[in-house]
Amino acid sequence: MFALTVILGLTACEGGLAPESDDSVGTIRGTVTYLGQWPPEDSVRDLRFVALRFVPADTSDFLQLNRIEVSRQLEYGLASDTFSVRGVGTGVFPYSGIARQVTENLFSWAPLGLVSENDGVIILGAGETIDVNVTVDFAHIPRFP
Amino acid sequence: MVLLLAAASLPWVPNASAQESYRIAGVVLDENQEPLPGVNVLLVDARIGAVSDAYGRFAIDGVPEGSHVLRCSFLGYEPDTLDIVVPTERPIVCRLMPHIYDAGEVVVTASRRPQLASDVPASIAVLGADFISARRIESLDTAIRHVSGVSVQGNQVSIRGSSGFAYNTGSRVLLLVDGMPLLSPDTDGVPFEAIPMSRVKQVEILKGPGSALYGSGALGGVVNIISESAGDKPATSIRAAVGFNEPFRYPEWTRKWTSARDFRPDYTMEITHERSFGANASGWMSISGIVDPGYLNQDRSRSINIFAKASAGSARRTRLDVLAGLLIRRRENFLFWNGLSDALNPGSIAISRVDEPTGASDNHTMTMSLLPQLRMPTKRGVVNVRARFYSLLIRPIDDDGRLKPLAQGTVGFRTGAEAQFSGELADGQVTTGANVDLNLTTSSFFRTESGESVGRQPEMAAYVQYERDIAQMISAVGGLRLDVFQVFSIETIVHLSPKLAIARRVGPAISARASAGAGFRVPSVAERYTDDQGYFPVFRNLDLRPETSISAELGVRYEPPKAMASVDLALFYSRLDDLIEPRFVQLEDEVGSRRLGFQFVNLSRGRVAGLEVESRAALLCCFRARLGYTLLSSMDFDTRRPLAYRPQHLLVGGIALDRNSVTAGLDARAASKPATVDSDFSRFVPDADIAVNSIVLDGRVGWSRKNLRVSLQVENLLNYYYLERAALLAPPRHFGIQVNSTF
Repeated sequence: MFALTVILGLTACEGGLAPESDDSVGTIRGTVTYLGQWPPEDSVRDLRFVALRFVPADTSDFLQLNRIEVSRQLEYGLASDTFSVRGVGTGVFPYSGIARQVTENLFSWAPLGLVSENDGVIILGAGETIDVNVTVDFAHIPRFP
Repeated sequence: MVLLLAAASLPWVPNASAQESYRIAGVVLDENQEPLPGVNVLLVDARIGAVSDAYGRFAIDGVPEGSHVLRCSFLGYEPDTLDIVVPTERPIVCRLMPHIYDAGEVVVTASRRPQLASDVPASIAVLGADFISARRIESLDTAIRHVSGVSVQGNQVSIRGSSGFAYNTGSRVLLLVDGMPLLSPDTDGVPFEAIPMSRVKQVEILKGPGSALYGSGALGGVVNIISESAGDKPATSIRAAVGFNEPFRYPEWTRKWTSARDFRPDYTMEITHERSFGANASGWMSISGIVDPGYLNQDRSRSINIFAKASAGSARRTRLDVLAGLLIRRRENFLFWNGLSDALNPGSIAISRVDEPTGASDNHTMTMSLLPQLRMPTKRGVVNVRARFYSLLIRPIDDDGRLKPLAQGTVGFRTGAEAQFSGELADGQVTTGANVDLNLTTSSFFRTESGESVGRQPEMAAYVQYERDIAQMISAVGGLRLDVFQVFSIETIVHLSPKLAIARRVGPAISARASAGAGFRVPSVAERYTDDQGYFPVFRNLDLRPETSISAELGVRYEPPKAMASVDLALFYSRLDDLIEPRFVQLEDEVGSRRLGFQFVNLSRGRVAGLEVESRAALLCCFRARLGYTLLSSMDFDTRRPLAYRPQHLLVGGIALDRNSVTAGLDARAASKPATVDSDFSRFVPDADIAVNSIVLDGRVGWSRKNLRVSLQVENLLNYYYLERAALLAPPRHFGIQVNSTF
């Protein structure tokens, strides 16, 4: 038992779980410009900038929320808007843009416009702030890849 | 006494038969000269015998003339052996004295009757009242974490990997109180506050399926709480405890919840009174209150638990025991964190529109239970008649702390009755019984086949188990249980659960066992009927099938007489089928629209194999040590990966000092991090896929004098940060002081 205590004590010296360092986060901010006629408000239940750490195949694949950075809710009906997502873990975001919740179903999300600069890839380093621009053209809404 | 002997002597006058055989008769008395029913009385050379009746009397016919050896034996007593000459003109009196076991524990869970733990052909662990009272154990989960092969994740108990993290939707371990299932298996996990731990005589943990005796829910094992009875002398006990969690050491966490920097005390107060009422009645009542500020943001709880037990009659004659309890609890439920960088605050789903966290759910719970049990010794055994009444009310609490209407909550009700006989039959021991249960749960989230919000699942069952010696030092057990569940009105589930076991004693120190059995769990009402298209979509699943398991175990136990030490080795294998888990699915509704949401589905097929070694020893003058190691190898047959949330290694150990008025001890437990976590849960909850080894060391020092006992406990002595379950940090180091006084 003594040996067990010593072994456990030594193993536990590293202290277990620890928070990620705040040094490994950055900020993504940007501007969204809306072109054309807004769709009916009941088909835009929610509206946000999302940055994905993967390329989604469909709606259900999109909903890997632990691999997504999401802005606050954006307003409906504006010509342009700004967003900022702070405390974002560093990494590569190959698929980002503005997404809307289409129906009451919490999981019914679809893209409205995508980040196109740098082939749509955002690379965020520690302590960096990345500026992006997104254009939403309601006449040419993108589909999932 | 004179009357008793006279009564016993009536038939003792031998009656010669045509074959020159006689009838002998007598009485069995205990240390108080009271008659002892249920005693095995055996004429050793002739291999014929009888069992003493409710008045301690016995009679054996067909006894040949001549000298014989008569042996009277009863569990818990030293056997009495008499040399008799037939015909005899004197009444035969067997006198049994209580046996003081060195290391033998008496258990009741394995066969629904008292047995020595070492004779049970199954793995069973026992936590006694001394073990519980020496530690700061307020609820059952704190106790069973010290058992080898047992892990607790939130309010889910897993025995030898039977369960992972199951989202509080159904327990694969059945909880019994004095042999009665307190709740239906569809209750969200095991109710750890089912009975005040200060009034627990012992907790028995049966490892492996127990459905052949106990039915649904005993898929992975059975936890049976045996309640203490009141003593003869009036006594009042007061237990007061205060403690606090050490502030978290990481500013990255405490910055986001500044209360975590403070020493926030928790309080417990319990008053228990016991007394007798005349010669044959007694009872106790316990009132306890707990105020816990929690160690996480939105993790506070307050509870009042009133529990009582009343008994009438004698332990050896007809006896009525009634347990009654009322638990009222107001609690903030911290469900999941806001990620590893913000582990002390509840998280939210990133795309939710509400500002408040969704990783917490506050509610007010009231549970009431009434458990009467009538025990009647008969000539050949014991008949038990049990009943249970249980109700559960859960009301959500709004942001301002007000109770929401009951219509937005959950109401559950269960009542049932059971009759059981256990006794001698055809040279063996038979245990048989039947039970009927009605249960009903209504929730605003339910939608049954007919669209109602009330889910019902009545059930009936009958079981039989037969044990007998099949050769010298070899005994066999066979059992079968038939369960019938009516799933609302459209479907009946019929399930047969068999069991077979063999035990062999190899000399005085070694016993071996082999067993195989089946387990199952009927889907809960919540799993089947929850259907909420509101904020967080969940779809009902009317096609859910029962979870099933088939298990086998080989074990050997080495326990030299008077050596105060034992070693137990078990190899086990379980095949698990149709395990029910929530999955993120895409469904088409009645009008053909495709919708995304969660649904409980029969998902996993897998197996858990492993070995377990447990040892105990008394060392030097006053030390006791225990060590248990469990190796688990699990596999999901579909993914070919380990089953989710099953650690590969489990270790428990402890050493305790008890000398004069001072007690001290260390308890350790460790579990390796699971190789696999649930991808669907972790896709919505930040950092829910993080896993870590858990290493916990608890220490305690106590001092007692006359009627006063003071103890200091430090839990998580190493202040090691690990996970209670997925996305939920376990408590940090906790200091507590407890004072017990009895007068």
